Amino acid sequence: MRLKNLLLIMIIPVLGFTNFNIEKINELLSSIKKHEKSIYYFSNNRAFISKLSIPKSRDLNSADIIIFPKSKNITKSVIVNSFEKLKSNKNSIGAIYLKKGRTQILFVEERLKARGFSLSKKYKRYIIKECYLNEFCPFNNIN
Amino acid sequence: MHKKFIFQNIRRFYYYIVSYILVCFLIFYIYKNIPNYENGLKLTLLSLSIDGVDASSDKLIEKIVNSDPNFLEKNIKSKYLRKKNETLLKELKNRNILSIYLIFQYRGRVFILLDSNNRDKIPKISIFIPEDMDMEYIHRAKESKKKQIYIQKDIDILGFTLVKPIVIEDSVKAFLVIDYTQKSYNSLVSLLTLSSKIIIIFLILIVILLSILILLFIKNAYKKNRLYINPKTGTFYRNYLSDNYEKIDFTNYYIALADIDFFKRINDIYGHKIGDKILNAIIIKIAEKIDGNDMFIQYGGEEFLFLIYKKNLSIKKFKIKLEEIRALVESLNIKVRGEKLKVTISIGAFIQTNLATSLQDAIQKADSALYESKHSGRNRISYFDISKRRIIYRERLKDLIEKNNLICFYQPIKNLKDFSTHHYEALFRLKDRDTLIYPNEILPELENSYFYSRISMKIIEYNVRLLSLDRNFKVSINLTSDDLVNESIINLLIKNRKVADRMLIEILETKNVDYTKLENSIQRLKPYGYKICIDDYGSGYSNLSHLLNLSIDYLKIDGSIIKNIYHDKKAHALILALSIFCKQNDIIIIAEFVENREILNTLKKFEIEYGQGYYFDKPKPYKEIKK
Repeated sequence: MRLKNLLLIMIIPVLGFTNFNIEKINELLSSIKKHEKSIYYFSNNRAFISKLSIPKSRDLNSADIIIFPKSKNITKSVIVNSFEKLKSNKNSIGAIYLKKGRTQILFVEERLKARGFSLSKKYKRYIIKECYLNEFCPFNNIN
Repeated sequence: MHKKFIFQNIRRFYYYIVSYILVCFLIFYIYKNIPNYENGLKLTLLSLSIDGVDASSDKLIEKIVNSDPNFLEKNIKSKYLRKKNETLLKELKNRNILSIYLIFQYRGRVFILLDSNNRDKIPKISIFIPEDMDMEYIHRAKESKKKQIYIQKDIDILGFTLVKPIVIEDSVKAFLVIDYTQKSYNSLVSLLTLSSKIIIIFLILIVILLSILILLFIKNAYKKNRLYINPKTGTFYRNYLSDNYEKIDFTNYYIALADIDFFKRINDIYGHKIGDKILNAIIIKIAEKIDGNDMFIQYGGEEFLFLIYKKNLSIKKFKIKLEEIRALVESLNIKVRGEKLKVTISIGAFIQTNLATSLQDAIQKADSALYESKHSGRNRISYFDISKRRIIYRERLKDLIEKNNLICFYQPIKNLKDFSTHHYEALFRLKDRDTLIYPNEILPELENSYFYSRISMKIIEYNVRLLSLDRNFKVSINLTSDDLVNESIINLLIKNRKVADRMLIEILETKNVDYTKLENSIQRLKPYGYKICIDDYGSGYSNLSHLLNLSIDYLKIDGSIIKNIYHDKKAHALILALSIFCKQNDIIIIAEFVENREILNTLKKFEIEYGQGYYFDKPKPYKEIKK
């Protein structure tokens, strides 16, 4: 029973990640620049990061962005795996998660700027303002 | 010369090849376009399958919108309203649906307003980034203001999606989106996939079948080629003619029969081996004179049959061609054992093949002409020429028959005990103005032609009319054994079965009788009441086989036996034997040619029941009999 649970725990993350649109994620993450330079990613989630063809660093310290961190105390820029975490974790610059089977990739404009990251304008549909993290803010002017 | 005839059914072969090419093309075309057709069919199938949900979703939208153009703003502002509407969404869900949600666009972004999968107590509006395909169909739904269904190819957990625009005052305010599971999609299209595979397999099987047919056809043609064609000379064997007898339209050809003169002597002197070599050498030389549309057939050992195509070849040119063949053979110097051998050829030809009744008839006429050549000195050509006078006479007879100038005279068949009339034999004549033409002048002209059976049909019709008018009259009519295996005549007799008990059928035997077919016809007619009689027994083609193989009721002994009965021992013995045989087999004898009292008395001694002849009466028209 314990072995089964262990196996499930190991397999589910992998299975979960098989539904992501890896191509889209690669494209977007590869386009993020810091001061016009390419940036390096690190993640403890080897199953996920191994699928990505982006510049990777060997350790957390030499990375520019941490993907799906386990700890909440990381001060480096992070990409989290839910909208809720994006909202609550102020160090998060973006989130990658699934909604209705579709890959959702969101970056917060103000946070990107504050940390010196930039993303091409052609990806503007993936960039939201900070206020969009608040449920009603986007609709303040709706009649 | 013969290559044209290698494939007997060349047209069928072309059909096979064309069908083969078409089917291959069709398979290729279907295979290439199956994804397109499948897609279209799938969407149609999906559309039909979601009909129920589609109708319910319309009602759902009505409830949510509630005819309020500001429903969207109200739902954004009121979580309670959203909660209530989400409950409505959940009611529409079934096991085939993954989720139902309502989305709207605001400032270039898409948001989920209502979500059937929402588990939060307080429903939240969340930002939503659709895939590129989703955006395309959302855009289409917005532009067309009509629902869109599309197959989800890139999202594993989804099968297909329905996007329904919510239109208020001609403006699209929001969209109802229903995501169907992969399972529901698979179950819908699995049958379609299976059927498209079955179609492909079926077409492939057809291709295989056609391939087999084509191969069999070629194999068959090759076999026949070897059977029909002499590989050394390239000419046809006689079996080609017999197998294709009915397919050859002989009227398109002049026919000539040729025979090498004194060939038997060559065989006797040099042996059959060398004789065959000489024969092949002659054939090869003659074949050079024969064109592609002609036929050159080895009819017998040293006998050849030419069917020379008439089109674009006048009679004069045909005669020249035959003369060239004759001259060619005459000019040959065949070296045999150091000697030079000269041969000649006799030819008989028939030109007016359109007047022949059959190919066999045409060959017989050519044969008659060949006989003429042989007996006129050999090494020459003779022609069988039907005289114009004869042609005109034959046409006149046909005309008289068709214009119902056929009448019957009747001669009584008498009971030899009490001299009562049992029935009358119908004897036909043709009335030509004031003249009567008798059968012996008519039948030889029309033998083996279509008009021969026309006469028989006219006789039947004539007597049926008479018997219908006079219910006490009883006749016998004369039909040949060929008539009785003619389906039209059988059908005519069956059609007029009401007079069957008063119409005796006298069968006149011809050569080559098929007893099985004849007996079958007799068995078909007898149940209707027809009685059968063998006519002219003891003459011509009649023989014991008639008595043994046919179910007859009467036997008419030919006059050639009866006329000598009272002074000829052999005739006497024959009649005695026949009368015993017939008595034991319930066959009634009718004696023809009862000319005088002596014959009558002799017949009575044999206890022969019926007789016919001038002693009783001559044939007369019906009106005279009734006087």
